[in-house]
Amino acid sequence: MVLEAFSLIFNPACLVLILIGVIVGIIFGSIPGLSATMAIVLFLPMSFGMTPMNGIALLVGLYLGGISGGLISAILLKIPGTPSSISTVFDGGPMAEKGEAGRALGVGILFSFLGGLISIFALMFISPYLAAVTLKFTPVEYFAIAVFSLTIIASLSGNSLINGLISGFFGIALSMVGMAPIDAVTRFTFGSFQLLSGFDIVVILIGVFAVTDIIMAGFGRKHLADKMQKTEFQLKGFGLTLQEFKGQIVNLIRSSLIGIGIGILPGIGGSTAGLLAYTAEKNSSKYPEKFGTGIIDGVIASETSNNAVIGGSLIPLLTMGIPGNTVTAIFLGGLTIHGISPGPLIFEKSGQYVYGIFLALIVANVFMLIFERAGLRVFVKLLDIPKHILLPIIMVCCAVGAYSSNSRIFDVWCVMAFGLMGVLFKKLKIPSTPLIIGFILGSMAEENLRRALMASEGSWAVFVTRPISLAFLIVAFVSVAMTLKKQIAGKKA
Amino acid sequence: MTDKKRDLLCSVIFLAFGIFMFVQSAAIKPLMGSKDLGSGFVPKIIAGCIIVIAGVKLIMTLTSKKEEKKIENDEDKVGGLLTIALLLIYSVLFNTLGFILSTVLYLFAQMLILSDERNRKIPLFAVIAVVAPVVIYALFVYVIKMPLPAGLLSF
Repeated sequence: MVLEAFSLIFNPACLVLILIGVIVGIIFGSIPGLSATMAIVLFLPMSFGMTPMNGIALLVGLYLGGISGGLISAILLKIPGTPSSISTVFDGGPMAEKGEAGRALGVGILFSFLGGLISIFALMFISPYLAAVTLKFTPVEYFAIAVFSLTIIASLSGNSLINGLISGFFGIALSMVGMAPIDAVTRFTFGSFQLLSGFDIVVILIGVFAVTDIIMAGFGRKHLADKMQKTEFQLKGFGLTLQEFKGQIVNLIRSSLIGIGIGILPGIGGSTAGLLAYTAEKNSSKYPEKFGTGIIDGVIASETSNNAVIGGSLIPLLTMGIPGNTVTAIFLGGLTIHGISPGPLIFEKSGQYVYGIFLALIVANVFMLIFERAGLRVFVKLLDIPKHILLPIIMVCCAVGAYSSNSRIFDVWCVMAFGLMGVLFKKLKIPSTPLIIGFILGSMAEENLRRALMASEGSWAVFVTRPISLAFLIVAFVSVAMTLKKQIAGKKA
Repeated sequence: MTDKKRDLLCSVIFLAFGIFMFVQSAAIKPLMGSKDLGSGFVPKIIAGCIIVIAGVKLIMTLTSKKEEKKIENDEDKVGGLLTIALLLIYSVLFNTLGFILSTVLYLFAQMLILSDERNRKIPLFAVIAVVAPVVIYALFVYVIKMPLPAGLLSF
């Protein structure tokens, strides 16, 4: 079976399809508003006409490329191309400002590759065991994970903890617009049917990052041309020494495990994986105060874990037929069309295709590494385009992205509204990153809190009696307490 | 505006928002019986947190005895407000004029606003303003088959 898989993957047609998939995926991933999901939806009908292995290999390439492309715009433009790359902006953006865009990209690409690779090996060798453990997770653990991830707000608030908290809670409030989880009560829609499904994360991302950016450029137009110095571009390898690499091995392993774990858990997604890995790395770092100022540790944690989600999310899909996110749900459709039914028997019934998927993932991962490293020089050149030309064009791409996320003009208006809100936040000196984090995690926290309490018949004790949940909550509490202590000490000094 | 005025404004805005949200969510009744928290529970908690934090900020601002410092203001109000107005016009015209026409107008005007005498190259701007939307439109509509508003130019 393994040999058959080799012959199916390593033929020119299949390799070319993987390459096309990876490149198209990267393009979709790097443009805000276009996502890996969209790329796969678009190419799914095309894959039906191909042989099963070719079709699936194309989808694999698109998935991997789509997740990997987000770091390019996250670092260069400080606009995450996909929600998965949100936490890459925290340190990737400042690195680019310091003139280290090439290094940030190089490191990000290398660790995307490594995170992906580790998760593929996890998928190949330990998938059934891993899936068995994580599927025991109940809403109690989900809630604890959400609370733990929310504590990153405290440490990302910059100088003012209070302003960060306001922003974070406001983000949670925004996530409540539309139909409530569980009982589908409509909340805060003020009679507008357009708001029933709530705000799309893409719409908020584009508004707060891109639209705010261009309006602020308008306010600062006198100085727009000042910063225009061509950045000297020199990069050997991937921009880090062997010594630095050794220092990041713990980070690499932890972030990969977080990514794989989050990938297996249904319904969480890459953005949370990135945030969680970033928080974990920051909490265990010897120099947590440097996070957010542009250090490679943050970029590595984020990019390793969001690519590790890929292998992780395929584990329950292949072994149990459970899709954990929208991409794998569509992927499942692609598999069934070709007569491959995921489940415990998949290794016996369609073993050659399972091994084919493993190989295709590895090949796609290598193509991603080569293509992004080779294109790095070109990507960085983007920054040399004068701002007064680059920004309006990005703005147009964002408007298109907002429109096409749901094909409705309402989302374009929302993008503008969130852009204005972002400007207000800037004027009031409120950081907007906590808002995004609150928005992503708010609905997850609420839904699982309610589910957990329904299952426990209203007893709050479940959160401290289950060991995994208790561990997450304790770490969350400790990290908040430490931040508070530091803030108060800083005030007195 | 001083630091103090800014912080006052900020806390008042969010205090008002928190109270508004609390009133709104207090009206949501649980549908699923006594075992469920109901859809109003978490919003009430969040609204409560916003009220408390904004309140703390208000008190801290009022009691702080920091020296009043004028914020250095070096920004170009005209450029910012023009950009906001332009974006609003663009989002309205997006659907009525169609993607291509509205984007040509937007791109050209936005590049004019953001450039200054040193780097204002009208012919270059005009070319970019026309070529970019046409390329994006063609890519979306013909290559990846995702419709954009056609508006007046229907092709």
